[in-house]
Formats: sequence, structure tokens, C-alpha cells
Amino acid sequence: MREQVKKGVLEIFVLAMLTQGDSYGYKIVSDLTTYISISESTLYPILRRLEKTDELKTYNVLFQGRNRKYYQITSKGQLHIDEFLHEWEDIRKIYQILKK
Amino acid sequence: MKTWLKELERALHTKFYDDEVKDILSYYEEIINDRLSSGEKIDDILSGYEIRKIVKDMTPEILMKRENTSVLRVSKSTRQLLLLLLGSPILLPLGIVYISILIFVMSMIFTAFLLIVTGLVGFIGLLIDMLQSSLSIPNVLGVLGMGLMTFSMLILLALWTYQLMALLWRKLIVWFSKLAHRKGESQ
Repeated sequence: MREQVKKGVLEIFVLAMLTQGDSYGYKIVSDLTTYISISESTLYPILRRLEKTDELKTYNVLFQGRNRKYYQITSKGQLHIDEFLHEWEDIRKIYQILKK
Repeated sequence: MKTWLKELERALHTKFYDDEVKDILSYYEEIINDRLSSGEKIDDILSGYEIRKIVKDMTPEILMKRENTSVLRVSKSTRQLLLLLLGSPILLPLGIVYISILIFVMSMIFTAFLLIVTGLVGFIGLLIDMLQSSLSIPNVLGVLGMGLMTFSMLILLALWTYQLMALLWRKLIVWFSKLAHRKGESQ
């Protein structure tokens, strides 16, 4: 269960990072490692999964003579973040009620 | 870096298809190039990667998203999943459950095949029997009509069983890859 939550949260972090602007693999890992521990191997399946579910789209940009793959969040990705935050808020409210 | 990428490519090719290998390779090549551009040393970068671990970690992910469109692909994915499940003590119980369900699926597919063969043999037998019998033509046609109907029903039943089992076989790959992935993550 904890791992499933972690995976879901990582997806949200990646999507949230991309709301700041389009980015590429290495930059996403570098930016995220400021806050959480994540490796390139962990990021790869997350990116592919989000791409497959149309929450991200990609395009290539020529950089120093090679292609660099950029990731861009889609409206579906943004919706995923909104829904997640909404659910999170509900969980927090229920927790507060139960604590009383 | 080229040598390392070649090694990774070789290792990935033993398990994955060309398009899957190409995607993983281009991902790592891009990351390594970006890390080099940011000033990291190639030896430091490569020492952080373990090819065997990359291939092992990628296997459930690739199997989950792979579209098993042909029998060949389904067979290859099944073989890889079995190797993954049976190759790790943590995943071994999952492997045993997978094998058990797989045996059931295979038996049902074999049964469907046998149903068609025996139906066909039975109908041919009935046809020969009717040709040699002393029954009147309307009676022979009636019996043959019943035989044809039964044979058609058998074929339909066998086809539905095969389709259902083939679907279950493909789904099992996805379900058990997911379970293996979750179990692998939780360890």
C-alpha cells in the first residue's frame, strides 16, 4: 500500500514539476532530488506511464548536435494533479474528524 | 560511454524487442550526455549504473506495457515473466501461482483443440456410417443435419474457449508483471 502511494505521489511530483514548464529527463531528476530521492531508473517507467496515459506529451529539441526529449504536461495531466489534491484534502478532513 | 551503451544494448536485446531496447537506450544516452554536460565525470556516472539491475528493473515495466499482439510475443513475454518470477526467492510463490494458472490455461486451449479434432473425426465417422446404413434418405439427411449442428456447436464452443483463454493468457502477463513490480518495489 505504502509503495502504491509513493508511486502515485512521485507521478504527481513529476507532473507538478512540469507545470512550471517543459523539461527533460536529467533536469526532472535533478530538480526532484532537491526534495526527494529519485533515480533515473525510477523516473523512466513513470515518464513512460504518464506518456501512455496521455498525461504527458513529448517532443525533441536539437541540443549540442543531439536530440533531447522534452516532456510537456497535458490537460489530462493537470486534471490528475487536481483530482489527487482534492482526494488528499478529503483524506485530511476525514483524519481531522476522526482525531476529534 | 559507447562501450557501456553497447553492453547495455546487448543485455537488453536478450529480453526485449528492438523498439523497447531503442527507447531505453536513448533515454540513458540522453541522461548520460546531460550529466556529462553538467560537469560530471563519465566514470562516476557509469559506476552508478548496474546493467543487470537496469534490465531486471525494466522487465516488469516493459511486460506491463507491451502489446502482445502475436502468439510469438505472448510466448516470449511468458518466458521472460517466468524467468523473472522463478529467478527470485521473493517472487517464487508468485511464480508458482502463475505456473498453476498457466497450466490451467494451456489445458483449456488443448481441450479446445481436441474438441475440434474429435468433433471432426466424429462427424466423418457419422457420415461414413450413414452412407453404409440402410436408412431412408430423409432419415440419413435428418441424422446428418443433427450431426452438423452438433459439430458446429462444438466448433463454436472450442473457439470461444480458445479466445477466452488467449485473452486470459495475455491478461495474466500484465497482472503478474504488475504484482512482480509491486513486490519488487516493496522489498
